[in-house]
Amino acid sequence: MEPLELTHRPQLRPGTHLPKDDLHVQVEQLTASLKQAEEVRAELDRRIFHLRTLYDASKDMYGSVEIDAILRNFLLMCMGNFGVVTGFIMLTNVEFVEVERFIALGIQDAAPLSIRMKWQEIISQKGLYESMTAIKGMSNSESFLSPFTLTLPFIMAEDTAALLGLSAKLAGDVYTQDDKEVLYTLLNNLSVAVKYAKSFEEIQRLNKDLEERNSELTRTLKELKESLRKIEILEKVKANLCKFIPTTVSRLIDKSQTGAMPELEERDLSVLFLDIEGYTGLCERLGDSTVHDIIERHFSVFMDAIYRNNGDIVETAGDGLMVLFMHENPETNALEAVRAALSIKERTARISKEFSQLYRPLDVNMGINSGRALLGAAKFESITGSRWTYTARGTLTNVAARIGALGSRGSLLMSKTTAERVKEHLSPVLLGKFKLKNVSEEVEVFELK
Amino acid sequence: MNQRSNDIKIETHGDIILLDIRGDVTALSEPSLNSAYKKAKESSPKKIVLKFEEAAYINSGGIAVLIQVLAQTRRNNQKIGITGLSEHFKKVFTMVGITRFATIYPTLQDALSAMSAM
Repeated sequence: MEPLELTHRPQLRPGTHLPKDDLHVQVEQLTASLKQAEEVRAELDRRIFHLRTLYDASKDMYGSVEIDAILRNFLLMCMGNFGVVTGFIMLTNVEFVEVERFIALGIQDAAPLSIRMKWQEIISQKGLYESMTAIKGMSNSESFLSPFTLTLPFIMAEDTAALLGLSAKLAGDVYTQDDKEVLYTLLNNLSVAVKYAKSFEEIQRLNKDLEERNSELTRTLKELKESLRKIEILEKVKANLCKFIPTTVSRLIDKSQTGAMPELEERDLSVLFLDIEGYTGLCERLGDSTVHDIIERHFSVFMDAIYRNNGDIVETAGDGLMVLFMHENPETNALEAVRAALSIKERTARISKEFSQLYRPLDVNMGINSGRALLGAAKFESITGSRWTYTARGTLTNVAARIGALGSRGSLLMSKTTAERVKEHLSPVLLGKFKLKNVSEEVEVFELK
Repeated sequence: MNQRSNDIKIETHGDIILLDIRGDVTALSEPSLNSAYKKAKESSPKKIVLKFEEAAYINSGGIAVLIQVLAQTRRNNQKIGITGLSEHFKKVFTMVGITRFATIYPTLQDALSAMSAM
């Protein structure tokens, strides 16, 4: 802004006597000085008003985070500052060359839309920067901006350009360079306020996005909790069911991707049959309940011996067990079966002292056979429903059961195959050849004391 | 500065409608001023007096809002008088050209008397 300066300086001194002509000159000088002082005062008032506008505009613009409200306040401030009836402010997205905001005041009917569309057409054809340069040299009376005496293009930020249009001042005076400087200062403030507002809008958008994601997460978490609750119930059911199914089956189903039952397969294994001798007589002598307690205690101890040797109980009867040993190595599965049997014998003798009703340890007869058998699930269907079992089938199992049935007084018998497999570690003794029920050829049976 | 909210009373004095505007006049006054003018217009007055509080603060935004209202009064061929302005705002109103739309009177009585005689 240009400095204010008084050019007329009166030379009058108090008490000085002046000639009449001089006095007349002095009066003229004083009148001119007074007039100039009034003009300076008016200019000072105008500048103070402009400064006040700059202060208020900054305060109002930064007080809002809504871009349209900021633009409207800005435009009102500009129009009020210069006493203008019509005006507009338009923001254009530099990247997309597209008018993104347009606020107009005092313009009647469809004129604001027409201005916006015309400007969009020009920038689409010529490009934004070229259009902004061209508009500076454009005579407003010849263009679509004819109602506006002043149009100021302004680059606000990397991504936004502004175009401000104001009609003629009501007071009738033209826009000076000072006026334009005030407007550019206001536009600079607008630039910062719009930048903040855009940041705020972005934060709000991110917040909304975050809220949606949170809500989605909460929903997913709720669903997961519900699923977890169902899984917990299923796990409990499974834990209860596992008490009734072989460990191998449980492991195989766990390993399966779909939870389906494993298919039948032929593989090498050892089968151990265990039978309590004289079980029926024992029940008659001691009563079912006492015998149940005795058997339960014995079988619990047997289970420990079986599991320690990687055996798996696949079938149980009141007085017997069928146990599979399925190590991939044939010698190992046979050795584990025999070691489990020896451990059962030893434990039977040890715990018999717990039962005063027993005169001597229970006679637990065991038979073992090794070789290939068909292993897997079998389904029995009837009109009343279906029943699944998991076991080993075939001659191997049949022979093992028959060998076990040969035993008495707690003997541990085994087939030749089993004996061959364990002979490096143990010393089974050949008992002889036996004709077994439903087995065509005689079978060599070995005993381990 | 916290802006005082506007309270605009509408009174009828003969054929003149008086809008007694309390509070500061800024861009935020736009809804209340427009609403008061719309209500005043219902009786199709030919003369309207706008009275401001002398202590009121009027900024550029408020002046722009007033100019918008005054532009409407011009389209409706209404005569406008303004009173209650401090000396400072009398100068500001003159400077921005509002006096082209309206006459500024020193007091309300002066405004009513002068406009009744029109």
